[in-house]
Amino acid sequence: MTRGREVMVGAVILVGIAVTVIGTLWLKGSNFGRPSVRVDVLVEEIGQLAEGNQVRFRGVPVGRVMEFEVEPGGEAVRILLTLDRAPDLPDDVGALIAPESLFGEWQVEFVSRSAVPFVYFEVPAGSEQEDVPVLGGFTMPDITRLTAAAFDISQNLSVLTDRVDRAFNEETADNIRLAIENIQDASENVRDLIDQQAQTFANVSSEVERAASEIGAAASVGRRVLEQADGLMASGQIDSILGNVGSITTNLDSLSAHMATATSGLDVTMARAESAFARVDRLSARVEAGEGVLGQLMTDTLLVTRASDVLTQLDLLLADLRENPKRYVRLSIF
Amino acid sequence: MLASSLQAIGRTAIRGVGAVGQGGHLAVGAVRALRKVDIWGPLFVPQLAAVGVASVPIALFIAAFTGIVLAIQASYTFTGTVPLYFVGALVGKTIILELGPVLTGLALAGRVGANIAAELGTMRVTEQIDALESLAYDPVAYLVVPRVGAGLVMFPVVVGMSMAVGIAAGWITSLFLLDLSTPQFVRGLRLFFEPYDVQFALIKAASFGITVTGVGAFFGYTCSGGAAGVGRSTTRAVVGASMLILVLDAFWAAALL
Amino acid sequence: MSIRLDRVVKTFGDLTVLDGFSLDVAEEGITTIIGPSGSGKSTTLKLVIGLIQPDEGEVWVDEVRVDELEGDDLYDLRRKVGFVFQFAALFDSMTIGQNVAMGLHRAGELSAGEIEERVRESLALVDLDGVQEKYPSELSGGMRKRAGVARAVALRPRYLLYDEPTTGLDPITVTMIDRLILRMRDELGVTSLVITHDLDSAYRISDHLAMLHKGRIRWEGPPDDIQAVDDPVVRGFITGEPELWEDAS
Repeated sequence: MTRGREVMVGAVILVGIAVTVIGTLWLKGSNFGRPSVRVDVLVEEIGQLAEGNQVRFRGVPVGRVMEFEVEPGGEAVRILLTLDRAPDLPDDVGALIAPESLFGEWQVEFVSRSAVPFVYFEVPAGSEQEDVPVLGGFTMPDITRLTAAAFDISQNLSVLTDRVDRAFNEETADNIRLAIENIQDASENVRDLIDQQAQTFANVSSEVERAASEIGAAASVGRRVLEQADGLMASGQIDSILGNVGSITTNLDSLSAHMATATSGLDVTMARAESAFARVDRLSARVEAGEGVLGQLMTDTLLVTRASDVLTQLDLLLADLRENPKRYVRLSIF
Repeated sequence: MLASSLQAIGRTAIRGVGAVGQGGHLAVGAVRALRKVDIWGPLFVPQLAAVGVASVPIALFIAAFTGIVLAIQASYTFTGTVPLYFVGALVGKTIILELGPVLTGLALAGRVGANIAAELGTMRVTEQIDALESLAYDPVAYLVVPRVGAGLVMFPVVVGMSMAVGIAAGWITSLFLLDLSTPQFVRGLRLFFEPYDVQFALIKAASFGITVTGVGAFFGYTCSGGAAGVGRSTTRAVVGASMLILVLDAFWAAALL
Repeated sequence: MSIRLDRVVKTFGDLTVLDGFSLDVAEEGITTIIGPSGSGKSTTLKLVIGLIQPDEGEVWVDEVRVDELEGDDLYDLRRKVGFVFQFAALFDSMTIGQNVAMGLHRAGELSAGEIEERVRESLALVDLDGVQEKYPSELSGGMRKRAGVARAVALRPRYLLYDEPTTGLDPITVTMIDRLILRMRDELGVTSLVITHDLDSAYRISDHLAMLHKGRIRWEGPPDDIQAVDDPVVRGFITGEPELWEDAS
């Protein structure tokens, strides 16, 4: 009787402790004493990476982030990874730290630097601790920063169209040409950025869609403004310019739609985006050559210079976004 | 009706203040009685069985149904933008942080707290506690210490098991009733998991264990007035322990999170 | 060298139960306190073993002041004093044998075999052989009371305190309990303090009788003398005349 009760108590206590400890270790992602390999990564900053996040190679989970610490001197962060086994990594391996989904879960992915070109952290000589290999890493800007930049782009575009509204003047033709060149640069920057993001995420759809719709809204303001100019000047050329702006928007829309549905369709989408941007290029070339009403209408030097400044700012903004992504908003859930 | 309710509240409050003094006295007595291992030692294992082992079925039953309900309700909430694997995150986080310890604590306040209050209350009104004293047993060491000790030891054990069962029930529900696979559920489960959450839950569980057994022992030990008195003590033990559990829950959340 | 209460005052809230109560209990005799229900008789017994503390006055057992004892000293004292509770107060989760052995285990002076032997002896002393394995709920009221006596005498105390030993028992059992109380005195040589409102029983067993009234001893003396007392309070009580009693009170 007493003995049976003691056995029962002992059993319940042991089961309770075992369930709690094993459950905690399992949820924490312990490999329960299986041999593991440590790899260190040095990066400038870690974004929203957390202890316990996954390490992947070609999409396959191969380990977890154990801990991280700021290096002496404060120039870099050392991330300690524990891998279940050492995968055969490419020779030019780099560590890309990026969100895996829109919901805040970040990961470390081993990539080939040549296939995914970023500015990876240069690992200084002598950074190895206890013969653990050290990789240079790059931390992607958060998707929210891209959204914030897109918002700024659309704001600036609407400022620009406002000014164009008041500033059709033949003497500003040269400045407009410069401005359109800036648009070209800016749109290339946007395209590059989207390009990079597209290689990394599958789930950017809603954010890009929002960015695209904001750009679209700005473009429709532009269309209205230019339509007025068109009415005044009775020219057929403006229609084709605006048609192109419209198709950029449409293409951006379909770009995001494609990215949302399948990454396999990405090539096609990007090709279509390319062609949209190419049409802008052609358009600007024609304006540059002094063809069409638009080229002849520009007269107000000062205002167009200002418009040009806005675009320069936009350009700087995009550059800054890539250089100093930490300044921009972060997404956090819970 | 309203006046009598107010009066009841007032009376409860006044009684509560008096009870704090008596409770403190009993608590000091219990701490002093800790060194009388020869008295409470032999009773400890039977109390571990009565407080802990016997509570396992009800605790696991509650945990299992909590897990099921959480999984279904979470999937009902997460339509559209939030991915379904968040069901795992919600089930895990809620059960570990809150529902595992608190629901188990409340259930055991009814089972263990009432049991202790009724047993000690009956012993008090039938002079069995006086009889213990007359036989040179310190009744606090004999009755209170092993019960509170058993609560302290066994509540975390029982809560640990119910957390595991609750999460497992949520997982099985996700698998069979929701359109969710095991890797998805586990992914959600691990998404926001912190080992500290488990420590937090176990600390809470231990404090609930002391509370439930201590409050039950207090109301039983200070019982008076025959069978009706025992009934009153039992009710007060359950109500008091339940309220203290919720207060402690808020306290730990503020102090430890 | 016995039990002595000296000018003891005890109040519970507004109710003064003992008000200058003094009593000397004679060595190796049976002293009985009689008085109506609720007159504070039980309180005197609880004062003797330190279950409650007096507000004023002194309580002595042997050469020790009980009201100044604390902690383990109090428990040491209680080993010398057996207490027979009104309704026996047996631990109902234990067998009779375990109940009787409780005090012996606590004292820790005897081996397991000796404890078993002592339990059998003590139960035989109260004519309860062969009930060791039974639970209190399986016994009649009289048997339970005897088991309570057996538990109280198991430690072979110098003193035995009886709280209403015959209340609620049939006349046959009352007589058995009375004989038991006498036998404890004669065979074990214990000093007994009995409180009761059962006068027949008190006359039969007492060497010394004391009547408690309004927190003090109203009268005390040999039991044979009480019939000759003129005090209307005492007369009213022993003849069972409420009018006489109330007028005098």
